[in-house]
Amino acid sequence: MKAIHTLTAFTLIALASTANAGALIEGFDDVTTLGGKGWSFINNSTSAGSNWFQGNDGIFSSQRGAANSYVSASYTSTNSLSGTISNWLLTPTLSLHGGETLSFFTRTEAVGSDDKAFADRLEVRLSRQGGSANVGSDANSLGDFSMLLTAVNSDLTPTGFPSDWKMFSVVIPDMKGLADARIGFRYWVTDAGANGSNGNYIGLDTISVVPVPSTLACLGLGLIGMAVRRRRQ
Amino acid sequence: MIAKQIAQNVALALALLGAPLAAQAAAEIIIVNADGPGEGFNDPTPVLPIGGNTGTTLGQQRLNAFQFAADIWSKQLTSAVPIRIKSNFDPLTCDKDSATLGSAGALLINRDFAGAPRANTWYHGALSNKLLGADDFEGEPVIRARFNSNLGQANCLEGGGFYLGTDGKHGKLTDLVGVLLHEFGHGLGFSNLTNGQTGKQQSNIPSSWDHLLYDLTTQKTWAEMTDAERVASGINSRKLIWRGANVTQASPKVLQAAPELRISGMASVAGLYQIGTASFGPQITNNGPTSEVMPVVDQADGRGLACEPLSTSNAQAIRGKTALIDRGACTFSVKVKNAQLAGAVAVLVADHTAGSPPPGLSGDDPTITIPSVRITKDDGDKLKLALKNRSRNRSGIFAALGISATQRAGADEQGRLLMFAPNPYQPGSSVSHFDTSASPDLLMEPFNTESVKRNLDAPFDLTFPLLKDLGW
Ligand SMILES: [Zn+2]
Repeated sequence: MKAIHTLTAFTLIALASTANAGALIEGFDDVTTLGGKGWSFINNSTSAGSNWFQGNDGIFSSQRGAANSYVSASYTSTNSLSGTISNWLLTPTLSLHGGETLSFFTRTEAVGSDDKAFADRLEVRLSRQGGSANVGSDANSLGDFSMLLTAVNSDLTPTGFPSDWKMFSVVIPDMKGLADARIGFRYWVTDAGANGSNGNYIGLDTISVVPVPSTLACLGLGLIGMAVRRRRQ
Repeated sequence: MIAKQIAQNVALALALLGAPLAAQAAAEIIIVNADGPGEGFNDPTPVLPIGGNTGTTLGQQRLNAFQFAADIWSKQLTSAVPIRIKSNFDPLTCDKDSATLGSAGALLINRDFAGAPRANTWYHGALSNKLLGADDFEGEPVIRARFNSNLGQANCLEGGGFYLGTDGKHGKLTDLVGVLLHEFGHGLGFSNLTNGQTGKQQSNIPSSWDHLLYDLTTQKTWAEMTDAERVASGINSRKLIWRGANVTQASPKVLQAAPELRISGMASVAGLYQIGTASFGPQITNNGPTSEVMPVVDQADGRGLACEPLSTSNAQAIRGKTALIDRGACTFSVKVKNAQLAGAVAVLVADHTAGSPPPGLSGDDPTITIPSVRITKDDGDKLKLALKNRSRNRSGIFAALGISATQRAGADEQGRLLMFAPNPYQPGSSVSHFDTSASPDLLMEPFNTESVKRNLDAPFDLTFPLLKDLGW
C-alpha cells in the first residue's frame, strides 16, 4: 500500500491548492476503520445478514495491497433461503463540482466450468443530499440515491460480472456548483440466498474520486494518471 | 494419630450409565450379601447356565458373577487384610433410554494411620487397611456396591438386562462382570472423596485423590485449591488431568494416538478443536483429509440439517470439502450420508445443545466412507460466524482431521490422563472417571462401552496404575 499512500499525499496537496473539489482514495486496509472515516453500511436485504466486510483472501486476493485489503459483499447479505439483496456501502460526504472521475476495481469469484455461476451485480449511485444516508428502508428502495452512475452486470447474467479485477470509471455529472454529495455502492441481487439462483461474492477495491484534470498538473503517474487517460478516450 | 471414620455421608454414588463397560498379586475379596430373602442374590428364580456361569438360580448366577469379578481384582491387588464389599441389588435410576447400572463407593475412609503416605489426607478404607497392614475397621465392609435390579424391565432399558455369563459374550445385554470390575474400582480407590459440585472436602481435609488431580488452567492440584476453584475445575473440560506417575508412564502403552481437528486459514477461528468421534465411517487416520469448510444451509434460520438429499447449491458448496452440518431432526448417519452423496470428504456436526466436551456421533451405517466428528455448539457458532464471509464455493477456512503427532487419545501432550470433567457437572460421574476421549476405551470411563474389559493393568488398561499412584 505504499504506492497508494504516496498518491494520497499527492492528491491532498493538490486539493489544498485548489480547495474546490472533493477527493477520496480508499484501499480498504481495515474495513473496521471505515465508520470512523465517514463511511456508512446499510443492509436493506430481505432478512438482512452480513454487511460489507473485510475481504477474504481465501476466496481471492486484493487488487492492491495486503491480500485481504479490499471490501466484500456476499450472498450471505440475506439470511433468507430466497430473497433480494440490497446491501449498501456509502462513501463519506464529498464536496463535488461535477467532472471528477470516480474509479474503482471490482470482481467476483472465478468458478470452474462444472460449477454453476451465481450472478452478481453492483450499482454505483449518487445522492446530492449532503450527508444523507437515506437509502429507503427495503430491498427495492433507493432513498436519496436515485441517480445511477454506473452498474456492473446490470442485467444480472450468470457470467456478466468480471471474474478478475477490472477497473471501472465514471465522470461525476455537473453539480451546478460545489455541492455535498455521497456515492453509494449497492450490492443488488434478486433471487439470492441459500436457495436462490443468484448472488455469490464480490470484492471492491481502490476507490478514488479524482478532481478535474486541470487541478492535477502535478500528478502524472500511477492510478490517477490512468483514470485521466481513460476519460479522454 | 489414627482416625477412623464411618463415612455414611460419603455416599459417593458413582453412577455407571447404561451404555457398556467391562482385573491381579493377592488380596482376599469377600462379597457381603446385603439382599433380603428371595431378592437380589437370594432370588430363587430358576435359570439355565450361561457363558461359563453354572448357577441354576438367578441369585446364584449373580453371586457367581460377583465372585468372578472379585477374583480378577484379588489377583491384581496385594493386601494382608480381606476386603469386604457390601453388595446388593436395588431399583436404581432408570428410564427407557438410560439407566444407572450400578454405583459404588467407599463405605469407610481413614487418615493419619500408621504407614499413611501423606499426613492429613483421606484414604479409601480398603487402601488404608492395606497400608496399615491391619484391619482398622474390625471386619466391617469398607466398600458399598449396589446394582440395578430393574435393568431390562419395562422402562429401564427394556430388553437390555445384565448378562450374567463370565465369558464377555454379552451381545446386546450389559456385561455384569464388566460393570462389577468398574464399580469395585471406585470402591477400592478410584473416586474422589471431595465433592466436586460444592468443592467441599470431607471435614475440610483433602483426599489422596485431590493431591493428584491437577488443573491445567490454574496449575494447581485440588488439594491446593479453594472450594470455588475446585467447582470451576470440575467443569474444566479436558483441562483436568491425573498427575500420578504410574498412569503417565503406562499411558503410551495403553492409548492410541489421538484424533484431532485442526482449523486453519482464518486467524479468528484457527486452532485445535475438541471433537467427539463417530461410531460409523472410517477411523480417523494419519492421512485424514484436509479441506475447506463449507456450511450446509437448508433452513430459514440459517441452519443446515442435511436430513434430505442436498440441493444443487449446497452440493456445489461442499463438493470435495468438509461440510458443516447442524445437529437435529434426523440421525447423525443420515446427515453424513447425505453429505457423502453430495461429494463431501468429511463432516463436522455442530451440536445444538451447549456443553463440552462434544459427545461422539452415535449410529450405524456401513455405507458411510467419509470421516465425521461432532464439535461443540460454541465452536459451531464461532465457525458459522466466520463462514459468513464466504462465497458460494470458498470460505478460506480449512479443516484437517488427523492423528496427533504428540498426543494420545485421552491424555494431554505429556501423556497425563484427562479426567472426566464435562460442563455441566455430572454428579456421580464427573471428576471420578477417565475422560471419554480415551481410546481404546478404558474400564474407568463413565459410560459403559462395547468392549468388555477383563484386564486392569497396562498394556490393556490404566485402572491399576492409577490405584498404584494412590498407594496400592
Ligand atoms: Zn463409574
